[in-house]
Amino acid sequence: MTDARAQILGQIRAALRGVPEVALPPAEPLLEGTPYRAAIARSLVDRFIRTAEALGVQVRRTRSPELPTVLAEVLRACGAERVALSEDLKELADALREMGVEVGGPEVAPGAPVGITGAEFGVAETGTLVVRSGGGRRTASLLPPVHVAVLPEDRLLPDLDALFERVGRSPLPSAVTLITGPSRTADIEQTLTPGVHGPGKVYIVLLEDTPNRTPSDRPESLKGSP
Amino acid sequence: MTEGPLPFEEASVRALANGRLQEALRRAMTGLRTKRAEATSELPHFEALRDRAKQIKTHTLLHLDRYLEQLEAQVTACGGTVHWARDAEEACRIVVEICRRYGARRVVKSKSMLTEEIELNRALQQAGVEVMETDLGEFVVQLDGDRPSHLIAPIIHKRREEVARLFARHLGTPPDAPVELLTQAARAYLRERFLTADVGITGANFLVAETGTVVLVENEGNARLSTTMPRVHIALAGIEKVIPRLGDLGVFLPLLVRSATGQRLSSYVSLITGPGRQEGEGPEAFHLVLVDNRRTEILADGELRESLQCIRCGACLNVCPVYEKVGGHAYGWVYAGPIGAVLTPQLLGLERAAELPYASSLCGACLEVCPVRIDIPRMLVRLRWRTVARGIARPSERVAMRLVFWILASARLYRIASRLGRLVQRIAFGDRPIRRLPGILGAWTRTRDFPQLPPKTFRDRFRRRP
Amino acid sequence: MMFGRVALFVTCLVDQFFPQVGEATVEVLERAGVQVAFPEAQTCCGQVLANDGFRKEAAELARRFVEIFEPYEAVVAPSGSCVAMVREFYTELLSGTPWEERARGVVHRTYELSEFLVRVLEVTDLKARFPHRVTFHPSCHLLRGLGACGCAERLIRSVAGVEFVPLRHPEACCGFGGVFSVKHAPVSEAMLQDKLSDLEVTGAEYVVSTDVSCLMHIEGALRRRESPVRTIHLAELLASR
Repeated sequence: MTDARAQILGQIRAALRGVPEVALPPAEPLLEGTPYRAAIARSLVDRFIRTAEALGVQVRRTRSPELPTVLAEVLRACGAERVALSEDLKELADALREMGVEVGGPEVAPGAPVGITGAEFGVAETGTLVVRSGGGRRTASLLPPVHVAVLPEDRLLPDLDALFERVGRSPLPSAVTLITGPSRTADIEQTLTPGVHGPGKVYIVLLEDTPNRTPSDRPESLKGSP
Repeated sequence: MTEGPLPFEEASVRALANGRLQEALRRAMTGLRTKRAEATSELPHFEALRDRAKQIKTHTLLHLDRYLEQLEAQVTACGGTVHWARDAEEACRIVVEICRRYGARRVVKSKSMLTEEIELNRALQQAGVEVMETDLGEFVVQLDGDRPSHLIAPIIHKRREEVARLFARHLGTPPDAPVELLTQAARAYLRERFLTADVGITGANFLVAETGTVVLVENEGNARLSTTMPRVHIALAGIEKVIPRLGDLGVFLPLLVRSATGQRLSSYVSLITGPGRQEGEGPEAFHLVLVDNRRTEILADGELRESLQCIRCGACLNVCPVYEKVGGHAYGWVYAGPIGAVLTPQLLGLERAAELPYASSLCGACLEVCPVRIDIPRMLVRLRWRTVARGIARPSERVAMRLVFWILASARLYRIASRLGRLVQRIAFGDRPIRRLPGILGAWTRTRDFPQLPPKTFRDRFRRRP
Repeated sequence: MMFGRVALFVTCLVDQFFPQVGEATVEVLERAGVQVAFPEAQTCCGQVLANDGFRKEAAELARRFVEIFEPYEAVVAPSGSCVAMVREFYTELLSGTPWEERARGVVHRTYELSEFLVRVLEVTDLKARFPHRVTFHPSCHLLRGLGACGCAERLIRSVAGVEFVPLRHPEACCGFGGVFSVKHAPVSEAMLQDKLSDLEVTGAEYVVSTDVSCLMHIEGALRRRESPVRTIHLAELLASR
């Protein structure tokens, strides 16, 4: 295959010989400092809830001590008694079991009615969850027909520019998945149908407090907030 | 792929006679246009985004070798393998060879125009590998032995009843099942495939050079499944798909998705960087196949290079009045609509696709919406110039146009032709409306009267002014 | 802005088929306080040849146009498509020749009628009178090529007695597209049909445009169907008293 590589690169170089330069635009986001962005940044939680709900996603807000109760309530609303829990949330397993939920790790995702994972970020402008691979998060957020995501509010970012800036700070894992609402298709006669391959229902539980996190970890977006 | 010239003319007539297709196209295109307008007007900086995207793409193409090398280095550093394919045949050979190496018997595929371009499925099937399309529209197309007719909505031309009949035959669903049932049936059928496939094959919406990342944009989740469950992930992409930085996605994703479907963001955007072994989930091997297939030729062509900037959003199809009437199949190949009329002649050759550059009224709606501002109308005209320069135009047309030119290039001949035309009109039509004309003008008079030449031209009358 | 003398580029279609549009254009320009010259050597902007793929021939006509109109302060044409041709293709057609630079100068001084009146002369009221229900079809060239749709509409609305009813989809192409109208007649007709349906909904007596190419296309179908609706060029509308 070296022949192909050399040939293609050689053809590219020959193709571009003498063509005048066009500079790469700066990386600074176009929305930096604009009223549009400031408006989002000022009310991250409200905007996030609005854009997520517009997609048919159900959003709950709670504090960490009540998280197991809220999750159990969501499961009851889904009529589910079994979950696949990703490893980052395994400390919730016991509390959930006490509420009568059958809890398995990501290995039960193929057959579980609900998958619960943490999310690394949320994007307010689009109502997006960001889930990074590892701990079974890929399969738990994909295989079951319902996905429940737990997202600390201090992980909300205004827009995609902010997201890629954050994500780009460290080496990327094998998969970073941006989830914006349920799986859907309009392929057949432009009729919108959820739950084609991925989950047809998505719940987001926002955590108002930030457990296990020291002040120095807080993202800039909420500096100075209580 | 059929050999010989692509039959736009006859296909368009058939499409126009198909009332249900007309209705489906009208409804779908109107809906997509409206959604795009709403989604793009939400962003105050949308025009600036387009400018920036155009500049990023132009710059990237001018340094394509450097960015491809950077991409390759990054992918390799993350544990992936990069392959280079000069043409369709080589690309297929590489993929078949990878499948053989892993003893793969079953492949799941998510939607990729490039894989249709290189006819990958046929190559895999010939090598004894079962290939399953998993995008719902592509799955339907595969079951039916049909072809997709739109860049992002493959079965815009099919009615629910047709799909229901198809699924009844292949999946055992009730004969007139509603959309929800059909969707769930496909989900269950394909889920089993995902869980047992050896290899997942995808395209790539973007390749990020800085990080070695493949970006997959979708709504259904089949690309996620194809890149999570099987042991091996193979991504194929044209060399023009590379963008420099991760941050550039902040420009391209809003442009792509809002232009394509009017969503703020598609349900899933997957950033895939290398295989997933370390995290205990995801494929153990990741292969990226970079495909040329005449793209370097286009790159060398200063007049048409811009067409490589296309991010495959489909917005030009959605606003094109010609596409709305004829649908995607009329364009005869993988790429339909305005961008198809520019790409197909370059990828398949002008001789085979000579009709396509002329299949446009040059209204400019495509340029108006293209997120990267590709000047499609200008490129269509340039392709027309090449058609004539290469002698592809019909001899009768050349003669006629030469005559027109002589008349217009000389004030004297123009005057003579002016008088002659009036004489002929008087003899042939007298004062009657012109309802039948010979030759190609007969195509006009079939449904339209032709204007009459008044006795005196403007210049005759102007000269006589007091 | 004051202007002395402008050259009229009447366009081949107007010269041959719609001389009254040329006369109306002269009248409108004179009413706006401008002297009009008519260089007799002119014929055609070359669009039909460029459009059909005959580059060499179109380039020669472009060169001829530049040569004929160079001496004038400004060139005005009652046609969005011809001016768009000049503006969008002349320098490309003549690139690499000594005429490229000369073309650039002429291109900058060539205007479509409505943009000349509104943007250059800053005249929006020609004291015209046309007591009819009227709708406006902007040619694609006027709308997207020149961005002058607003100028034309403003002028139409300034005419006394006009009852202006907009089309629901003014941006939709009428299907003419030059050679497209005969080379792909079935599609062209289908697009025209949509335009006519839209037209019908307005109940307009007249459809106005800045381009006789679109108008002759629309008129061709109206006459075939024996419709009472009539087409009228913007210049004729503005010249009405």
